[in-house]
Amino acid sequence: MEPILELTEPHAIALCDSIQPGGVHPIQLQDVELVLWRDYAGQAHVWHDRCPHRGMRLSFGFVKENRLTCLYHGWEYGSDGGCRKIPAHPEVTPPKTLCADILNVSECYGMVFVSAGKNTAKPNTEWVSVRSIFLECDRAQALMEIAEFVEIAEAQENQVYLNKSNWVAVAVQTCSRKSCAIHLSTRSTDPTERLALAKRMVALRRKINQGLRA
Amino acid sequence: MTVTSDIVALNQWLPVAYPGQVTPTKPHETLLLGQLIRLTAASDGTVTAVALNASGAPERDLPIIEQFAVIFTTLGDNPRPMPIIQAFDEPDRRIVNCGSVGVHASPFRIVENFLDMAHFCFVHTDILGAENETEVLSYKTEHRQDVDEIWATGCQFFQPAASPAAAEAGEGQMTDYTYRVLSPFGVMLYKSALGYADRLDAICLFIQPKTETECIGYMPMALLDDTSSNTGMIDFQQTIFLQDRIILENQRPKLLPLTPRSEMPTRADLSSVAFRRWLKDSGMRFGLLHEEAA
Repeated sequence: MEPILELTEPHAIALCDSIQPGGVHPIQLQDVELVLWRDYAGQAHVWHDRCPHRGMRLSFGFVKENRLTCLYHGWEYGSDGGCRKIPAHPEVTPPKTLCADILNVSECYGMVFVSAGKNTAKPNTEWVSVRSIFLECDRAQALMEIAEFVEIAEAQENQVYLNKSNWVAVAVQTCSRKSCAIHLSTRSTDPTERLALAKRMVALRRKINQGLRA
Repeated sequence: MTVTSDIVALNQWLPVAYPGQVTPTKPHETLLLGQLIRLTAASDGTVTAVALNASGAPERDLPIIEQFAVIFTTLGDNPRPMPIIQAFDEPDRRIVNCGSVGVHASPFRIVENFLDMAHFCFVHTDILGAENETEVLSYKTEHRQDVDEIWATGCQFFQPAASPAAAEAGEGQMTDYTYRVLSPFGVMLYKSALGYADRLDAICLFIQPKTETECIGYMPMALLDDTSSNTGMIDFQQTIFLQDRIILENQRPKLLPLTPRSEMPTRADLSSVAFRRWLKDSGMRFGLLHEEAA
Protein backbone atom coordinates (compact mmCIF):
# COMPACT_ATOMS: atom_id res chain seq x y z
CA MET A 1 0.00 0.00 0.00
CA GLU A 2 1.02 3.60 -0.53
CA PRO A 3 2.44 5.19 2.64
CA ILE A 4 0.29 7.93 4.11
CA LEU A 5 1.66 11.11 5.66
CA GLU A 6 1.01 11.55 9.37
CA LEU A 7 1.43 15.23 10.15
CA THR A 8 0.22 15.85 13.68
CA GLU A 9 2.67 18.77 13.82
CA PRO A 10 4.40 20.85 11.12
CA HIS A 11 7.40 19.02 9.72
CA ALA A 12 10.57 20.66 8.32
CA ILE A 13 11.40 19.46 4.82
CA ALA A 14 14.09 21.88 3.60
CA LEU A 15 15.97 25.08 4.29
CA CYS A 16 14.43 28.18 2.70
CA ASP A 17 17.64 29.00 0.84
CA SER A 18 17.80 25.55 -0.73
CA ILE A 19 14.94 26.34 -3.09
CA GLN A 20 15.17 29.35 -5.40
CA PRO A 21 12.31 30.91 -7.39
CA GLY A 22 11.75 28.62 -10.38
CA GLY A 23 13.37 25.68 -8.56
CA VAL A 24 11.78 22.22 -8.33
CA HIS A 25 13.01 19.58 -5.86
CA PRO A 26 11.98 16.04 -4.94
CA ILE A 27 11.44 15.59 -1.18
CA GLN A 28 10.97 12.40 0.78
CA LEU A 29 8.91 12.59 3.95
CA GLN A 30 7.86 9.49 5.91
CA ASP A 31 8.42 7.41 2.76
CA VAL A 32 6.06 9.64 0.79
CA GLU A 33 7.37 11.38 -2.32
CA LEU A 34 6.69 15.13 -2.41
CA VAL A 35 7.67 17.94 -4.74
CA LEU A 36 8.87 21.28 -3.41
CA TRP A 37 8.87 24.22 -5.80
CA ARG A 38 9.04 27.98 -5.52
CA ASP A 39 7.12 30.32 -7.78
CA TYR A 40 8.52 33.60 -9.10
CA ALA A 41 6.57 35.56 -6.49
CA GLY A 42 8.72 33.75 -3.91
CA GLN A 43 5.98 31.49 -2.56
CA ALA A 44 7.02 27.88 -1.80
CA HIS A 45 4.68 24.99 -2.61
CA VAL A 46 4.69 21.34 -1.54
CA TRP A 47 2.53 18.80 -3.36
CA HIS A 48 2.40 15.07 -3.67
CA ASP A 49 4.95 14.21 -6.32
CA ARG A 50 2.49 12.88 -8.82
CA CYS A 51 0.72 14.37 -11.82
CA PRO A 52 -2.98 13.40 -11.54
CA HIS A 53 -3.02 12.55 -15.26
CA ARG A 54 -0.64 9.59 -15.56
CA GLY A 55 1.23 9.58 -12.25
CA MET A 56 4.47 11.18 -13.50
CA ARG A 57 6.57 12.66 -10.72
CA LEU A 58 6.13 16.42 -10.90
CA SER A 59 9.61 16.92 -9.44
CA PHE A 60 10.91 16.05 -12.92
CA GLY A 61 8.92 19.02 -14.25
CA PHE A 62 9.85 22.66 -14.58
CA VAL A 63 8.43 26.06 -13.72
CA LYS A 64 7.07 27.81 -16.79
CA GLU A 65 5.14 31.06 -16.61
CA ASN A 66 4.91 30.62 -12.86
CA ARG A 67 3.24 27.21 -13.21
CA LEU A 68 4.67 23.82 -12.39
CA THR A 69 4.71 21.94 -15.69
CA CYS A 70 4.74 18.15 -15.92
CA LEU A 71 7.57 16.72 -17.98
CA TYR A 72 5.41 13.99 -19.53
CA HIS A 73 2.57 15.82 -21.28
CA GLY A 74 3.24 19.44 -20.35
CA TRP A 75 0.18 19.83 -18.13
CA GLU A 76 0.54 23.13 -16.24
CA TYR A 77 -0.47 23.61 -12.61
CA GLY A 78 -0.96 26.99 -10.90
CA SER A 79 0.07 27.95 -7.38
CA ASP A 80 -3.21 26.59 -5.97
CA GLY A 81 -2.52 23.18 -7.53
CA GLY A 82 -5.24 23.60 -10.16
CA CYS A 83 -4.52 22.45 -13.71
CA ARG A 84 -4.50 25.45 -16.05
CA LYS A 85 -3.47 23.95 -19.36
CA ILE A 86 -3.56 20.62 -21.20
CA PRO A 87 -1.43 21.08 -24.33
CA ALA A 88 -3.01 18.09 -26.11
CA HIS A 89 -6.28 20.04 -26.03
CA PRO A 90 -5.35 23.73 -26.34
CA GLU A 91 -9.01 24.82 -26.57
CA VAL A 92 -10.13 23.03 -23.43
CA THR A 93 -10.38 24.76 -20.03
CA PRO A 94 -9.37 22.11 -17.48
CA PRO A 95 -12.13 21.36 -14.95
CA LYS A 96 -11.66 22.72 -11.42
CA THR A 97 -11.57 19.18 -10.06
CA LEU A 98 -8.34 18.54 -11.95
CA CYS A 99 -5.89 19.44 -9.22
CA ALA A 100 -2.53 18.38 -7.79
CA ASP A 101 -2.61 17.02 -4.25
CA ILE A 102 -1.37 19.98 -2.20
CA LEU A 103 -0.11 20.39 1.39
CA ASN A 104 0.04 23.45 3.64
CA VAL A 105 3.41 25.20 3.53
CA SER A 106 4.97 27.79 5.81
CA GLU A 107 8.42 29.23 6.25
CA CYS A 108 10.03 30.20 9.54
CA TYR A 109 13.36 29.58 11.34
CA GLY A 110 14.94 29.65 7.86
CA MET A 111 13.14 26.40 7.05
CA VAL A 112 10.22 25.21 4.93
CA PHE A 113 7.49 23.32 6.83
CA VAL A 114 4.55 21.25 5.70
CA SER A 115 1.51 20.67 7.86
CA ALA A 116 -1.90 19.07 7.74
CA GLY A 117 -3.64 22.27 8.78
CA LYS A 118 -2.63 25.91 8.79
CA ASN A 119 0.69 26.55 10.53
CA THR A 120 0.18 29.07 13.36
CA ALA A 121 3.88 29.79 13.94
CA LYS A 122 4.77 33.44 13.30
CA PRO A 123 7.10 34.09 10.40
CA ASN A 124 10.53 35.03 11.72
CA THR A 125 12.71 36.31 8.95
CA GLU A 126 15.89 36.89 10.97
CA TRP A 127 16.86 33.21 10.71
CA VAL A 128 19.33 32.27 8.02
CA SER A 129 19.69 28.81 6.45
CA VAL A 130 23.05 27.19 7.16
CA ARG A 131 23.15 23.58 6.08
CA SER A 132 21.09 20.43 5.57
CA ILE A 133 22.64 16.98 5.96
CA PHE A 134 21.12 13.65 4.98
CA LEU A 135 21.74 10.75 7.33
CA GLU A 136 21.38 7.00 7.17
CA CYS A 137 19.80 6.71 10.59
CA ASP A 138 16.34 6.77 12.11
CA ARG A 139 14.67 9.76 13.70
CA ALA A 140 15.45 8.65 17.25
CA GLN A 141 19.17 8.62 16.56
CA ALA A 142 19.07 11.89 14.64
CA LEU A 143 17.36 13.55 17.61
CA MET A 144 20.15 12.37 19.91
CA GLU A 145 22.86 13.57 17.55
CA ILE A 146 21.57 17.13 17.36
CA ALA A 147 22.38 17.53 21.07
CA GLU A 148 25.73 18.65 19.76
CA PHE A 149 24.07 21.87 18.59
CA VAL A 150 20.93 22.46 20.60
CA GLU A 151 19.00 21.70 23.78
CA ILE A 152 16.97 18.61 23.12
CA ALA A 153 14.96 18.54 26.30
CA GLU A 154 11.99 20.13 24.67
CA ALA A 155 11.11 21.02 21.11
CA GLN A 156 9.73 24.45 20.29
CA GLU A 157 6.82 25.03 17.94
CA ASN A 158 7.10 23.15 14.63
CA GLN A 159 9.35 20.50 16.29
CA VAL A 160 12.25 22.93 16.13
CA TYR A 161 15.03 22.68 18.71
CA LEU A 162 16.93 25.82 19.82
CA ASN A 163 20.23 26.24 21.64
CA LYS A 164 20.43 27.99 25.03
CA SER A 165 21.21 31.39 23.60
CA ASN A 166 18.38 31.03 21.09
CA TRP A 167 20.93 31.42 18.36
CA VAL A 168 20.83 28.09 16.52
CA ALA A 169 17.71 26.22 15.31
CA VAL A 170 17.65 22.56 14.26
CA ALA A 171 14.86 20.37 12.90
CA VAL A 172 14.87 16.71 11.94
CA GLN A 173 13.06 15.55 8.80
CA THR A 174 12.01 11.91 8.78
CA CYS A 175 12.67 10.89 5.18
CA SER A 176 12.01 7.19 5.69
CA ARG A 177 12.18 4.73 8.56
CA LYS A 178 15.92 4.47 8.03
CA SER A 179 16.91 7.91 6.79
CA CYS A 180 16.63 11.46 8.05
CA ALA A 181 17.70 14.97 7.23
CA ILE A 182 18.87 17.55 9.75
CA HIS A 183 18.26 21.19 8.85
CA LEU A 184 20.18 23.88 10.72
CA SER A 185 19.73 27.63 10.66
CA THR A 186 21.05 30.51 12.77
CA ARG A 187 20.40 34.11 13.69
CA SER A 188 24.11 34.82 13.63
CA THR A 189 25.22 37.39 11.06
CA ASP A 190 28.87 36.44 11.50
CA PRO A 191 30.06 34.53 8.39
CA THR A 192 32.84 32.82 10.37
CA GLU A 193 30.36 31.51 12.89
CA ARG A 194 28.02 30.25 10.14
CA LEU A 195 30.88 28.54 8.37
CA ALA A 196 31.91 26.85 11.60
CA LEU A 197 28.36 25.55 12.07
CA ALA A 198 28.26 24.26 8.50
CA LYS A 199 31.56 22.45 9.00
CA ARG A 200 30.30 20.83 12.18
CA MET A 201 27.22 19.61 10.31
CA VAL A 202 29.38 18.03 7.61
CA ALA A 203 31.53 16.39 10.28
CA LEU A 204 28.41 15.01 11.94
CA ARG A 205 27.19 13.55 8.67
CA ARG A 206 30.55 11.92 8.09
CA LYS A 207 30.56 10.47 11.59
CA ILE A 208 27.07 8.98 11.34
CA ASN A 209 27.07 7.73 7.75
CA GLN A 210 30.59 6.30 7.86
CA GLY A 211 29.98 4.85 11.29
CA LEU A 212 26.99 3.00 9.93
CA ARG A 213 28.92 1.71 6.93
CA ALA A 214 31.87 0.48 9.03
CA MET B 1 10.15 -12.50 -6.70
CA THR B 2 8.45 -15.87 -6.93
CA VAL B 3 6.94 -17.04 -10.19
CA THR B 4 3.58 -15.39 -10.83
CA SER B 5 0.49 -17.52 -10.44
CA ASP B 6 -1.47 -15.25 -12.79
CA ILE B 7 -2.78 -17.62 -15.45
CA VAL B 8 -3.50 -14.75 -17.87
CA ALA B 9 0.11 -13.57 -17.69
CA LEU B 10 1.46 -17.13 -17.90
CA ASN B 11 -0.55 -17.91 -21.04
CA GLN B 12 1.27 -15.43 -23.28
CA TRP B 13 4.11 -15.76 -25.76
CA LEU B 14 6.72 -13.42 -24.33
CA PRO B 15 10.03 -12.16 -25.74
CA VAL B 16 13.12 -13.39 -23.94
CA ALA B 17 16.02 -12.55 -26.26
CA TYR B 18 16.88 -11.36 -29.73
CA PRO B 19 18.57 -14.00 -31.91
CA GLY B 20 22.15 -12.70 -31.63
CA GLN B 21 21.99 -12.88 -27.85
CA VAL B 22 22.11 -16.69 -27.73
CA THR B 23 25.02 -18.52 -29.39
CA PRO B 24 26.42 -22.06 -29.05
CA THR B 25 29.18 -20.72 -26.82
CA LYS B 26 27.01 -18.30 -24.90
CA PRO B 27 23.79 -19.49 -23.24
CA HIS B 28 21.45 -16.77 -22.04
CA GLU B 29 19.88 -16.74 -18.58
CA THR B 30 17.07 -14.37 -17.83
CA LEU B 31 13.95 -13.91 -15.73
CA LEU B 32 10.39 -14.21 -17.04
CA LEU B 33 7.40 -13.48 -14.78
CA GLY B 34 9.68 -14.26 -11.84
CA GLN B 35 10.82 -17.57 -13.37
CA LEU B 36 14.53 -18.05 -14.08
CA ILE B 37 15.03 -19.53 -17.57
CA ARG B 38 18.03 -20.50 -19.68
CA LEU B 39 18.27 -20.33 -23.47
CA THR B 40 20.84 -22.41 -25.28
CA ALA B 41 21.76 -22.53 -28.98
CA ALA B 42 22.85 -25.75 -30.70
CA SER B 43 25.70 -25.67 -33.23
CA ASP B 44 23.15 -25.28 -36.04
CA GLY B 45 21.70 -22.23 -34.27
CA THR B 46 18.53 -23.92 -32.99
CA VAL B 47 17.53 -22.32 -29.71
CA THR B 48 16.03 -24.28 -26.82
CA ALA B 49 14.79 -23.05 -23.47
CA VAL B 50 14.43 -24.53 -20.00
CA ALA B 51 12.92 -23.26 -16.79
CA LEU B 52 15.35 -23.51 -13.87
CA ASN B 53 14.53 -24.35 -10.28
CA ALA B 54 15.71 -22.32 -7.27
CA SER B 55 19.11 -24.04 -7.25
CA GLY B 56 19.61 -23.38 -10.97
CA ALA B 57 18.93 -26.92 -12.21
CA PRO B 58 16.74 -27.49 -15.31
CA GLU B 59 13.15 -28.16 -14.31
CA ARG B 60 11.18 -28.39 -17.55
CA ASP B 61 11.56 -27.63 -21.25
CA LEU B 62 9.89 -24.54 -22.66
CA PRO B 63 8.68 -24.03 -26.24
CA ILE B 64 10.35 -21.50 -28.52
CA ILE B 65 9.05 -19.37 -31.37
CA GLU B 66 11.43 -17.23 -33.34
CA GLN B 67 9.52 -14.53 -35.18
CA PHE B 68 9.75 -10.80 -35.90
CA ALA B 69 13.51 -11.03 -35.20
CA VAL B 70 12.77 -11.90 -31.57
CA ILE B 71 12.82 -15.16 -29.59
CA PHE B 72 9.60 -15.88 -27.68
CA THR B 73 8.69 -18.49 -25.11
CA THR B 74 5.74 -19.15 -22.82
CA LEU B 75 5.34 -20.56 -19.32
CA GLY B 76 1.67 -21.40 -19.93
CA ASP B 77 0.01 -24.52 -21.33
CA ASN B 78 -2.48 -22.68 -23.48
CA PRO B 79 -0.90 -19.44 -24.72
CA ARG B 80 -2.74 -16.71 -26.59
CA PRO B 81 -1.81 -17.14 -30.30
CA MET B 82 1.06 -15.13 -31.73
CA PRO B 83 -0.15 -12.03 -33.63
CA ILE B 84 -0.12 -11.92 -37.41
CA ILE B 85 1.92 -9.00 -38.74
CA GLN B 86 2.06 -9.16 -42.52
CA ALA B 87 4.64 -6.41 -42.92
CA PHE B 88 7.33 -8.78 -41.64
CA ASP B 89 6.62 -11.18 -44.54
CA GLU B 90 6.84 -8.61 -47.35
CA PRO B 91 10.03 -9.25 -49.35
CA ASP B 92 11.01 -5.61 -49.87
CA ARG B 93 10.93 -4.75 -46.18
CA ARG B 94 14.04 -4.20 -44.13
CA ILE B 95 13.74 -6.04 -40.83
CA VAL B 96 15.76 -4.19 -38.24
CA ASN B 97 16.12 -5.35 -34.69
CA CYS B 98 16.85 -2.43 -32.41
CA GLY B 99 18.14 -4.55 -29.58
CA SER B 100 16.69 -4.42 -26.12
CA VAL B 101 16.36 -1.85 -23.35
CA GLY B 102 15.75 -2.55 -19.67
CA VAL B 103 13.10 -0.49 -17.92
CA HIS B 104 12.09 -0.49 -14.26
CA ALA B 105 8.37 -0.07 -14.81
CA SER B 106 5.15 -2.02 -15.12
CA PRO B 107 4.82 -3.60 -18.59
CA PHE B 108 1.47 -1.86 -18.99
CA ARG B 109 2.90 1.61 -18.33
CA ILE B 110 5.28 0.80 -21.19
CA VAL B 111 2.43 -0.22 -23.51
CA GLU B 112 0.46 2.92 -22.65
CA ASN B 113 3.43 5.15 -23.32
CA PHE B 114 3.85 3.51 -26.74
CA LEU B 115 0.19 4.28 -27.53
CA ASP B 116 0.49 7.89 -26.39
CA MET B 117 0.93 10.77 -28.83
CA ALA B 118 0.46 13.64 -26.38
CA HIS B 119 3.97 13.25 -24.95
CA PHE B 120 5.80 13.57 -28.29
CA CYS B 121 6.23 17.35 -27.95
CA PHE B 122 7.57 17.17 -24.41
CA VAL B 123 9.59 13.96 -24.21
CA HIS B 124 10.75 13.70 -27.86
CA THR B 125 10.98 17.43 -28.53
CA ASP B 126 12.04 18.34 -32.10
CA ILE B 127 11.99 14.66 -33.14
CA LEU B 128 8.48 13.20 -32.82
CA GLY B 129 6.83 16.46 -31.76
CA ALA B 130 7.26 20.23 -31.77
CA GLU B 131 6.59 22.54 -28.83
CA ASN B 132 4.20 24.73 -30.82
CA GLU B 133 2.15 21.83 -32.29
CA THR B 134 0.89 20.04 -29.22
CA GLU B 135 -2.71 19.26 -30.14
CA VAL B 136 -3.82 15.63 -30.36
CA LEU B 137 -6.57 15.44 -32.96
CA SER B 138 -9.41 13.06 -32.33
CA TYR B 139 -8.97 9.45 -33.41
CA LYS B 140 -10.90 6.22 -33.04
CA THR B 141 -10.30 3.11 -30.99
CA GLU B 142 -11.94 -0.26 -31.38
CA HIS B 143 -11.78 -3.73 -29.93
CA ARG B 144 -11.38 -6.09 -32.90
CA GLN B 145 -13.10 -9.17 -31.58
CA ASP B 146 -11.85 -11.57 -34.29
CA VAL B 147 -8.24 -11.12 -33.21
CA ASP B 148 -8.99 -9.78 -29.72
CA GLU B 149 -6.82 -6.71 -30.29
CA ILE B 150 -7.25 -3.03 -29.51
CA TRP B 151 -6.74 -0.77 -32.52
CA ALA B 152 -6.40 3.01 -32.65
CA THR B 153 -6.98 4.41 -36.12
CA GLY B 154 -7.01 7.80 -37.82
CA CYS B 155 -4.21 9.10 -35.58
CA GLN B 156 -2.25 12.07 -36.89
CA PHE B 157 0.58 14.09 -35.45
CA PHE B 158 2.88 16.82 -36.70
CA GLN B 159 6.47 15.60 -36.49
CA PRO B 160 9.68 17.55 -37.12
CA ALA B 161 11.78 14.38 -37.73
CA ALA B 162 9.48 11.34 -37.76
CA SER B 163 12.25 8.90 -38.75
CA PRO B 164 15.93 8.98 -39.78
CA ALA B 165 14.82 9.26 -43.42
CA ALA B 166 12.45 12.14 -42.61
CA ALA B 167 15.13 13.88 -40.55
CA GLU B 168 17.44 13.64 -43.56
CA ALA B 169 14.77 15.24 -45.77
CA GLY B 170 14.73 18.09 -43.26
CA GLU B 171 11.06 19.02 -43.23
CA GLY B 172 8.42 18.38 -40.66
CA GLN B 173 5.40 16.35 -41.74
CA MET B 174 1.94 15.38 -40.62
CA THR B 175 2.47 11.71 -39.77
CA ASP B 176 -0.36 9.18 -39.89
CA TYR B 177 -0.38 6.50 -37.24
CA THR B 178 -2.30 3.30 -36.64
CA TYR B 179 -1.74 1.49 -33.36
CA ARG B 180 -2.35 -2.15 -32.52
CA VAL B 181 -2.29 -3.70 -29.08
CA LEU B 182 -1.17 -7.19 -30.08
CA SER B 183 -1.30 -8.69 -26.60
CA PRO B 184 -1.03 -7.38 -23.04
CA PHE B 185 2.75 -7.36 -23.53
CA GLY B 186 3.03 -6.45 -27.21
CA VAL B 187 2.12 -3.36 -29.15
CA MET B 188 2.93 -1.97 -32.57
CA LEU B 189 2.36 1.00 -34.79
CA TYR B 190 2.15 1.68 -38.50
CA LYS B 191 3.28 5.13 -39.54
CA SER B 192 3.77 7.05 -42.80
CA ALA B 193 6.93 6.00 -44.60
CA LEU B 194 8.81 8.71 -46.45
CA GLY B 195 8.23 8.41 -50.20
CA TYR B 196 5.28 5.99 -50.00
CA ALA B 197 1.70 7.17 -50.28
CA ASP B 198 0.01 3.84 -49.59
CA ARG B 199 2.40 1.79 -47.47
CA LEU B 200 3.45 2.16 -43.88
CA ASP B 201 6.48 1.43 -41.73
CA ALA B 202 5.78 -1.12 -39.00
CA ILE B 203 7.41 -0.74 -35.58
CA CYS B 204 6.81 -3.23 -32.76
CA LEU B 205 7.49 -3.24 -29.08
CA PHE B 206 7.48 -6.61 -27.34
CA ILE B 207 7.88 -6.52 -23.58
CA GLN B 208 9.55 -9.18 -21.45
CA PRO B 209 8.18 -8.82 -17.91
CA LYS B 210 10.98 -10.06 -15.64
CA THR B 211 8.90 -9.05 -12.64
CA GLU B 212 5.87 -6.80 -12.19
CA THR B 213 8.04 -3.69 -12.33
CA GLU B 214 11.14 -4.79 -14.27
CA CYS B 215 10.95 -5.27 -18.01
CA ILE B 216 13.02 -5.53 -21.16
CA GLY B 217 11.67 -3.98 -24.34
CA TYR B 218 12.46 -5.43 -27.81
CA MET B 219 11.83 -3.23 -30.84
CA PRO B 220 11.84 -5.04 -34.18
CA MET B 221 10.83 -2.97 -37.21
CA ALA B 222 9.78 -3.80 -40.76
CA LEU B 223 10.67 -0.70 -42.74
CA LEU B 224 10.44 0.60 -46.29
CA ASP B 225 13.50 2.79 -45.81
CA ASP B 226 16.31 1.55 -48.08
CA THR B 227 18.69 4.45 -47.59
CA SER B 228 19.29 4.89 -43.85
CA SER B 229 21.97 2.73 -42.27
CA ASN B 230 21.02 0.07 -39.74
CA THR B 231 23.13 1.90 -37.18
CA GLY B 232 21.24 5.12 -37.89
CA MET B 233 17.86 3.47 -37.40
CA ILE B 234 18.92 1.61 -34.27
CA ASP B 235 20.36 4.82 -32.79
CA PHE B 236 17.10 6.61 -33.58
CA GLN B 237 14.89 4.04 -31.84
CA GLN B 238 17.24 3.70 -28.88
CA THR B 239 17.26 7.49 -28.44
CA ILE B 240 13.46 7.56 -28.39
CA PHE B 241 13.22 4.64 -25.98
CA LEU B 242 15.78 6.10 -23.57
CA GLN B 243 13.86 9.38 -23.51
CA ASP B 244 10.72 7.41 -22.63
CA ARG B 245 12.54 5.47 -19.93
CA ILE B 246 13.01 8.62 -17.82
CA ILE B 247 9.23 8.94 -17.75
CA LEU B 248 8.40 5.27 -17.29
CA GLU B 249 10.64 4.76 -14.29
CA ASN B 250 9.17 7.78 -12.55
CA GLN B 251 5.44 7.16 -12.84
CA ARG B 252 3.67 6.51 -9.54
CA PRO B 253 2.37 4.13 -8.48
CA LYS B 254 4.71 1.83 -10.39
CA LEU B 255 1.95 -0.73 -10.89
CA LEU B 256 -0.75 0.43 -13.29
CA PRO B 257 -3.91 1.47 -11.42
CA LEU B 258 -7.19 0.44 -13.03
CA THR B 259 -9.63 1.99 -10.57
CA PRO B 260 -11.65 4.78 -12.15
CA ARG B 261 -10.49 8.25 -11.09
CA SER B 262 -7.12 7.01 -9.80
CA GLU B 263 -5.76 8.74 -12.89
CA MET B 264 -7.40 11.40 -15.07
CA PRO B 265 -7.51 10.70 -18.80
CA THR B 266 -8.51 13.14 -21.53
CA ARG B 267 -9.72 12.57 -25.10
CA ALA B 268 -6.10 12.10 -26.18
CA ASP B 269 -5.95 9.06 -23.88
CA LEU B 270 -8.74 7.21 -25.64
CA SER B 271 -6.40 4.34 -26.57
CA SER B 272 -5.10 4.08 -23.01
CA VAL B 273 -8.67 3.99 -21.71
CA ALA B 274 -9.56 1.22 -24.17
CA PHE B 275 -6.39 -0.68 -23.25
CA ARG B 276 -7.14 -0.47 -19.52
CA ARG B 277 -10.71 -1.67 -20.00
CA TRP B 278 -9.55 -4.58 -22.19
CA LEU B 279 -6.83 -5.48 -19.68
CA LYS B 280 -9.33 -5.47 -16.84
CA ASP B 281 -11.75 -7.66 -18.83
CA SER B 282 -8.92 -10.11 -19.57
CA GLY B 283 -8.70 -10.97 -15.87
CA MET B 284 -5.05 -9.93 -15.66
CA ARG B 285 -3.75 -9.32 -12.12
CA PHE B 286 0.00 -9.23 -12.79
CA GLY B 287 1.56 -5.73 -13.03
CA LEU B 288 -1.63 -4.03 -11.90
CA LEU B 289 -2.39 -2.12 -8.70
CA HIS B 290 -5.06 -3.78 -6.60
CA GLU B 291 -7.04 -1.68 -4.17
CA GLU B 292 -7.37 -3.30 -0.77
CA ALA B 293 -10.91 -4.43 -0.09
CA ALA B 294 -12.67 -1.81 2.01
